[in-house]
Amino acid sequence: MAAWDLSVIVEDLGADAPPITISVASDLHIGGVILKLVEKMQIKRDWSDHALWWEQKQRWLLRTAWTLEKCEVHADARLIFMPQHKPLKLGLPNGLTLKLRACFSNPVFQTVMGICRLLSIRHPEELSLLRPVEEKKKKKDKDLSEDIYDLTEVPLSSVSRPCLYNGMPAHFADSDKLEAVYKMLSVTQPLPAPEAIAKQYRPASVVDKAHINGRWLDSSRCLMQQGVKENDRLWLRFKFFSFYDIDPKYDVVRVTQLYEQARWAILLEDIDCTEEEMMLFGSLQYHISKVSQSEPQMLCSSAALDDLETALQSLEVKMEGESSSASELLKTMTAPELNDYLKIFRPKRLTLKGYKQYWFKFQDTSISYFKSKEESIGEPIQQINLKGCEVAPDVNVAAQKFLIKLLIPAPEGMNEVYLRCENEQQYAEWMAACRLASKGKSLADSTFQSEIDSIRSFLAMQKTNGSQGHADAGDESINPHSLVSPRYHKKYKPKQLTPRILDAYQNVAQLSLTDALMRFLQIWQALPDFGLSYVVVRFKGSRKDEVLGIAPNRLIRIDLGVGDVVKTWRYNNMKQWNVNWDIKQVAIEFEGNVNIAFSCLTADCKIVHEYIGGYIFMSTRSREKSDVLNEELFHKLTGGHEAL
Amino acid sequence: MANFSYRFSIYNITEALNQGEKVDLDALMADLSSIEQELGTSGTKPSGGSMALLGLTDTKLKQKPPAGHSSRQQPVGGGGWGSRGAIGSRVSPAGTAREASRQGRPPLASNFSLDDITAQLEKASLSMDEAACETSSNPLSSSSSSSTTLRAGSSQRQHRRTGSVGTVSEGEVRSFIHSSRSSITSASGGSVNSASSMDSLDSVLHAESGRQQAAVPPLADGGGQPRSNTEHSYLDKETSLILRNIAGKPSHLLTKEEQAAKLKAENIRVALEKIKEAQVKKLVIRVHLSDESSKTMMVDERQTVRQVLDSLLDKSHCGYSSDWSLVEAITELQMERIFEDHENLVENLLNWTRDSQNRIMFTERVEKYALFKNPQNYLLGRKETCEMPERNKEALLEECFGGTSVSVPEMEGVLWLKEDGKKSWKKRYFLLRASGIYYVPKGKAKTSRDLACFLQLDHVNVYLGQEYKSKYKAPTDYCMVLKHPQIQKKSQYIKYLCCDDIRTLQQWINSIRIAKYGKQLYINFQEASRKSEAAYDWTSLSSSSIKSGSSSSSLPDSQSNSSQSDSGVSEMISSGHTRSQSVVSSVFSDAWRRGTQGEMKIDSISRPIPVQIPAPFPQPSTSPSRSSLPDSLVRSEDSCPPHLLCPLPPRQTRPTPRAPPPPM
Repeated sequence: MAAWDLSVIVEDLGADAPPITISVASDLHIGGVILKLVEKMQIKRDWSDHALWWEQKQRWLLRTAWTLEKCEVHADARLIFMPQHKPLKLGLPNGLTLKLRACFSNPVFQTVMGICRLLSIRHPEELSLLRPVEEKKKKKDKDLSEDIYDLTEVPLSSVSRPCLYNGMPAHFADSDKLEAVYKMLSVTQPLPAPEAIAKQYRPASVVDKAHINGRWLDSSRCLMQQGVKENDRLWLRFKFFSFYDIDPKYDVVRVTQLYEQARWAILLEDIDCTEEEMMLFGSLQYHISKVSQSEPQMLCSSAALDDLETALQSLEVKMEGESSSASELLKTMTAPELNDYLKIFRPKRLTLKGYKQYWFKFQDTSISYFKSKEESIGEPIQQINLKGCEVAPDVNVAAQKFLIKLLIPAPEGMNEVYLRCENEQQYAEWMAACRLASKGKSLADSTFQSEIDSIRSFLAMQKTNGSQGHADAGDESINPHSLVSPRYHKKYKPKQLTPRILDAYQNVAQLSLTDALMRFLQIWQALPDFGLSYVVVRFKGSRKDEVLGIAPNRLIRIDLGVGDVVKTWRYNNMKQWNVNWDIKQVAIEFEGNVNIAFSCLTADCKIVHEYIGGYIFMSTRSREKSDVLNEELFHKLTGGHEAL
Repeated sequence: MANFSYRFSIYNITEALNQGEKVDLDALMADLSSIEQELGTSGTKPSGGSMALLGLTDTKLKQKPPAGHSSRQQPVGGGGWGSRGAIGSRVSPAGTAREASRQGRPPLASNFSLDDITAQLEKASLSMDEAACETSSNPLSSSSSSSTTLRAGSSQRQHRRTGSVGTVSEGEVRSFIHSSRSSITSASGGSVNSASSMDSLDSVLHAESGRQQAAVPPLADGGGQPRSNTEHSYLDKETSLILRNIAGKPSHLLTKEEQAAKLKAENIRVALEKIKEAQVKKLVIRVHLSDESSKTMMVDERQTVRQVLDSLLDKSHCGYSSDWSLVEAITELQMERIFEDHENLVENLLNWTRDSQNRIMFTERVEKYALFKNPQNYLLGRKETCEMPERNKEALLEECFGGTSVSVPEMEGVLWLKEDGKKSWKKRYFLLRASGIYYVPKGKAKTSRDLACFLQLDHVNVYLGQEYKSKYKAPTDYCMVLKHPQIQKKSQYIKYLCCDDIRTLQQWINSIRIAKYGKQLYINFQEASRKSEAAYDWTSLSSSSIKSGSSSSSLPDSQSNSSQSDSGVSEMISSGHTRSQSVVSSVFSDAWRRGTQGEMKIDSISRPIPVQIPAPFPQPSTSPSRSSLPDSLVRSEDSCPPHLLCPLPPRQTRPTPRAPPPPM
């Protein structure tokens, strides 16, 4: 066969270097071409990651056994010899940027798998990459100096099998720098400044929300084919809101990043919630940030302890002996008490009298009060059991107002009782006691002290705000505006917000970090709009734009004018769906002869197709075979014409 | 305030003891475990009837004895002995006081033969006496467990002490028989409260633990014996040291000494557990059956509703349908609620007031688990009832309850709200979310952020209101009530909502249950149906013999149970409950009959015509035709040119989590 010249650009030689020309025949296979090329260059290094990219055809020549003829490569082909893995700037759900080497030659689905393996995130099928929203550069180049965490040094081979070392995947344990990266991935970020929240783009309508979904990359094509260049920025996000088998023990990074994505979705009003829910989310964020700052090692150490199972067991034996010991039994018998002068007020009674001072005694789960300290040996004026009651704070540090509002259930209804404390310390103790009692726990409960501490820390938060100290006053202070979406920045002043968050906070204050994260995710998942990805579509036969919401288990049709859900279709009833790539129309057939068809306006129909197929794929995952990701099936369900 | 501290008495005894003699800890412990034994024997007596106590026994009473008998006024100087005696005598007046309060009440019909009851009571008292004797004579096994710390002379004291326990309980039994007998003679059918002997035993136990606690300071102060670590544990230093060393060591490698230490620790642990056990609060309750008869049984505070149901089912031989429920009927407020299986029964019953007319009913309620038997009627937010193949039901339930978080059904719509303190009912648009019930304020849109919170579900339970059309002038009789479980009387804190029809009402109630209990509800159902399936074979075999043995004739046995779709709910609820309940139930059973038919184990022969016209029922695809590619190229739209088709997946039916991946 006749030999002909093939010129190949070697990327590593620099942009200006002339292409290297090698003499080939059409029956030479790709592997041979690469071998010849490397020989000709005479540069000794590891070329194993390199492959040929055919620029005109926008494809990789990855099958080394194929001949040039079979690949239809001729002399006019512009081939580039370059590494398959290139650095990529990855915007993480927590808002930070991580530089790492990602695969540019395999389908994005596999690229994401590789990235997730590197970051030790299980179930990579739930994530994907999307092009970031262009940030408007307002002549402020300060942002350019943002911290970029670097993971490009990590040798790719070392990531293959995740094994734990020091509580983190082994490939993070090599250097302090990498450890810092792992910490960034596995520990929640501190609360953002209110200004930072306000500055970010917020979708104002469903249509706005729909636009982000046009940015997803095609899972079945590689990065190079989608025009992504070396060092480009992409976002890594959870795309399919069907989170399989979350186990806080193995999913440290996954849970953390999921939390970050959820938190931002709520702060930026990407998902709607009620005011009560917002306060609960706010209190959880506050709690999570507080706990993760105070014990940043907790998540790691819990994993580390894994190895020390024997140690744990012996500890358990010891603990068991101790917890059931007589001393503890006795301790609960001689329950500690609180005794002090407080003021009481009953708003329900039709008296003009205000607060009246009595000697109060808190014992077990009851409050009793006496005329004075001296008379406390006798019968109390009244004894109130707080079990099952509702406790609400009414505190204004600046005004030195420390009220405990109790709503105590009784057969006749709820009794309202206000207790007024003199100072912070007194308030914290009595409030903590009331909260514990409302849950049926006595003062002897081990959480009493931590309850006091958490109340005090929250008071401290109000103090900094109340005294007109702004966020810049001290790094210790937390602005409650950091915990809620900008809508509430306008609606409430910080000091109005604090008691409301405090109110919600009392129900979560005792959660461990992991539990708090999981609770946050649960409440997020329980929101009615959770998991909905929107696309603006035009239904066949309809003249107006409508929105299609794609959820993990159903499709919904939303009328743009009213904003109401017009119709719901469940995947369970779906018989088949087709995509007409030419007219960009998706047609779906449901049981009972229900046919719908729509064209997609804000996203490519491939994206919609991938969403539907992806969710069906997610629902096929089962516990038995959870370890192996059925990549082939995913590709079949989402691939579209490439899959045929 | 009705709620006083339950441990009220302990502290007083502690005070008393503090001034009294030194008490030996070990002897005390032995005492306690012996009492526990006694409790165990009397508590597990097979027929609940032998504990002839009626209605809910109010444990609160002992904290609230009639005037002049406050436990505060116990003799103090006498030390341990005096205080114990005081307890013994204290409770009996309580019983008598109760009796007096009972007498004014008009007698109600009761199926009990008085003679029977008297005989039972006699038996009960005998058994109690027996138990008491046993305690006093029994050498105490657990006393050996702490033998190392036993002191000279303690054994004798211990004997005397146990003897006294016997006396106390004897006295107790007498007083309690007295009170309960009198309440029976007055034939009060409502829930009669009287002090239970168990309670008084409890209080004795409390006293004991109080003494135990009081015993610590003298020991520590005594100085003669270096036992500083008794403050932390019963184990002496040596033993705990040995224990620490041998932790994790396999047992066969231990030396004799170590084994002894281990045994000792184990024994002490057992003894402590028994102490805890002995402190368990127990109630004697009367459970009303659907035929106006009732059963009396004892429940302890750890028992869940499921456990109580199981024991009731075991005793009453009425078939093991998962529909059997314990229903709380709050007579005064005309409302009722099916206890959830995971709930703690005693905790709920303690919310009742002392003279409460409330009842616990043991009946079959289709609505208890209708949600799981026909999830399509509840979870899909549809307005009309429909059928669904079993397979899809399972998938639907798995979808809703199998994940990490439970999705609350999208319930929303116009309901009537009874305005606080007024007789009028106002229309409002309500929405249910996981975080609570919301409504749309006037002039606002239905968007999440504008919703106003009506109430959060943490502290309230949802009840079914009965005959509110006449009671409260409600627009319909399909009412639900949201209130704190402790509220027992009319109050502004009770919220009344009224629905247009029974279906909406049931949807709301069930959705609220999902929002409140989440996955627990599904777990309850699974356990209940597991139990009923396991028992089914047995009951169907022996149903004939059960019929005669059953205590009440109209009790639905397994046969009538299985033909439930015929009889409907109204039949199961007997004539005694001719309040709205039966009306509601019959309407309800009509509406749900179609749905329940599918689950009946024996299909009925004469099936009534369904009330609802079925929605166009999707043809169940006969075996998912996952065929080869050509077949898969079936088009649904003419507009799609064949070459552009993307038939993915080919005629895939219901991609359920269980379904195998469609072959391509």
